[in-house]
Amino acid sequence: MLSRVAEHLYWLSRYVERAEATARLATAAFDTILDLPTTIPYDWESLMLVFDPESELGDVGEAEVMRLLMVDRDNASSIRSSIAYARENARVTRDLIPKDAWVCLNELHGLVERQSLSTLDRSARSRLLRQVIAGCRLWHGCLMSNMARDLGWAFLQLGDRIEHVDMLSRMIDPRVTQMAPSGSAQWASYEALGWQNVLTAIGGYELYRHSTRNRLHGESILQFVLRDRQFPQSMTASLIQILADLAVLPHERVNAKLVQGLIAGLDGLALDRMTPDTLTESMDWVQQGLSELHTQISASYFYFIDDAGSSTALTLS
Amino acid sequence: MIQVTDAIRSGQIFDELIRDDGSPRPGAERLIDFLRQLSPEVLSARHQALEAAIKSQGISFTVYSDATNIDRSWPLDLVPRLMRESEWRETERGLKQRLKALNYFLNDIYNEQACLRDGIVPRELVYNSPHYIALAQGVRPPFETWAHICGSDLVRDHHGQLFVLEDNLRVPSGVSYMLENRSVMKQVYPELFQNHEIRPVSRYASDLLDMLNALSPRPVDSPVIVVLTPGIFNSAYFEHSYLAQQLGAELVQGSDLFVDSDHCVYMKTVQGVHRVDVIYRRIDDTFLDPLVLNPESQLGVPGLMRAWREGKVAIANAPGSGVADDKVLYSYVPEIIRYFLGEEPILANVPTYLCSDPEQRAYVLDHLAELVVKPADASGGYGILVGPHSTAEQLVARRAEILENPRVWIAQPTLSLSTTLTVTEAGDLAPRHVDLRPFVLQSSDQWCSTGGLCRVALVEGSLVVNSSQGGGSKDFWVIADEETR
Repeated sequence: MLSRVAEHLYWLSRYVERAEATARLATAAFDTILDLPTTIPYDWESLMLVFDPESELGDVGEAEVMRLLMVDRDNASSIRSSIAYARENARVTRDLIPKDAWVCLNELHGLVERQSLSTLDRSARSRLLRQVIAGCRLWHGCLMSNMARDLGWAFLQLGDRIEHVDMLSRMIDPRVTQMAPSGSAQWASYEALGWQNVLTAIGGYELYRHSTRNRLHGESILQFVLRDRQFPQSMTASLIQILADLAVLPHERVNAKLVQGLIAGLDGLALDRMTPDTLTESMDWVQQGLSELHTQISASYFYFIDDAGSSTALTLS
Repeated sequence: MIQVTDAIRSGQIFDELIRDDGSPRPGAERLIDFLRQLSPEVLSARHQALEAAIKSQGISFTVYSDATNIDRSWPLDLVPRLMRESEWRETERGLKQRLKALNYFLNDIYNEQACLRDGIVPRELVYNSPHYIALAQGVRPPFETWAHICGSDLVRDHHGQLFVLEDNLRVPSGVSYMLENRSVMKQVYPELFQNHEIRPVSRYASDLLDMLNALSPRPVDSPVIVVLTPGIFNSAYFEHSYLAQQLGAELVQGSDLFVDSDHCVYMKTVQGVHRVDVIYRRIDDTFLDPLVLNPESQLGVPGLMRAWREGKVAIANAPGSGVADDKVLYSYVPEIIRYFLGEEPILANVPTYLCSDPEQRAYVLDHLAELVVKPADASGGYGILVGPHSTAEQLVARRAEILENPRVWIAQPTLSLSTTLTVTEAGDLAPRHVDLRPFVLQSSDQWCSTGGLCRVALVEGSLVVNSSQGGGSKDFWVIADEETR
């Protein structure tokens, strides 16, 4: 497989996952607003922090944030941009992707491109988000049933899981969930709502209920989202999948210790003593690990650094 | 609902399906019967089925000037163009003869230059050609073949005679549409294929693979073949990816390849580097190698010319082949055939006036309103002026362009291209002008496609068939007749 093609598949998958995660996050935020009393204003700006920690939007309202997240062409992480990038990558790798999956991506692209901003009221937005999520699920279904389990599959999987863990680490950052204790006393009584928001966004609410059978509270939700090995969207389960995908790549140029270190690090977190600040730190650490992993994959397989014989994998610091 | 125009009745235009008395030509009887029985509703339903088939299979092409919609569905007409196999066989012989002679010519000008010494072709015509590559001088590619793939455009005049309008020897395109047109027509008109003995076109991909395999510098069973594309924004990207798939070749861009110190070409894969034996390139000469050709090129491979000169890699078509598809050189092709093969040309040339020659230029300027004036070195129908269909201002503007730089213009009489029935915007059938581009291959042997890509000018009376200029296409059927069955 050509290195360039492998890189396109990897990014194709990252962008599809980014679009889906964004749609899920926006859906969850909607549900939250509908439950919040009008006396507690939802901090829309914090939603933007998921994508851009440096974001300085100022006082923007629901409509503007939703426009930025969903259909803004100039925002590189909007759903529209993610799907457009995904399709561009797919056009170049068309011969490797099942035809159904390619058609599915085209339809998703057509759907989002047809949206006109001015007419996006709450119900239209919510419908669009559901359609985007369904389209992304259909994409995965087509790959699941018809994609050869070859190197192309491994790069698609890697892109998907790395993006998923990255988005997850951003979503549970307290700066985003707004569950910081510094919030008003009134907000505290709605804390459970914030956690539910996260669980719903990753589609894990029911499974959490089944597996823990207790009220929603921070420590056990973090345990579930970060460490559960049976819930496929948890951080640890995704990292284990990444390990399996790395193992089938030629010459094992990427050092598995990096990923193993992330799993061990998550296991070692003292969830019972977690403060908003330490949670933010931990998630920053996860993102740094992923960034290093991405660099290693790129250097080893996408950008030709050395000939086939010698390993070019970077060593762990 | 079948229109027979006055132009056909009076013999001013040759129709491929209908004689001037309105009766079907031999071989076309069943098709005409079939079309006569089609109600407008059925015709319209078939038309929709055909468009749906093209959309769902993603058969597309790109228009450069259309920034918002770069990927367009391929326009295919419902009515095929027919040719009897006995006529096709003769045409095929003519095409092979022509390519053979052009390859002798290319090998000669880049080596012995006998034809220049003997004054068959003017020396300055070769050296001044924008497609002449001095670096190719002295190279002897495998089988001394330079142009491995040739797409010559054929037209028929009002007497019914076929002419070669131009030869495309650089990166001829369109063959994927020939193959896809047939596959779509079989879905939409299975009953027509039962009634006719239509020669299949599907052998082309295997022939192309045999031709490319024979070029390999390494004597291995399955050489590594790549299709080199400029990338997704090229108008023919669909074709590049289609052909790569059909050949089982890797579709590569320049950045996927590099030339090592052993002069061999390698491609970069996730498994490591793999040596490449044959490059079926779909990028122009000037972009091939930024080290020695166009230094601005982002599309090429640094060192590729060195690898090719050393014989470590085969490039199809070979760099410098474009000299032979220059529209000025075109007028010398009949002499080239006689000189190198000692045979009379089987296929005729359209009379061509060179604006660089003072006498011929004077004739062109005097008869501008009757002639077709084309740039000598452009393709895709850009810059063509059809005298009888032009306004006074357009004629004045072209006159000034000719006087300013005579070398770049040629002129030909306006041929009244033959017509064939075509579905119109209004949904009925009327004659529209057509041409034909067959594809001929040459390396250890010669191969010819069975038929070719037929292009049709969808606008009534128009002679411009290029898809980039609003033309459509037709499936082309070579039909067995008494002599060949």
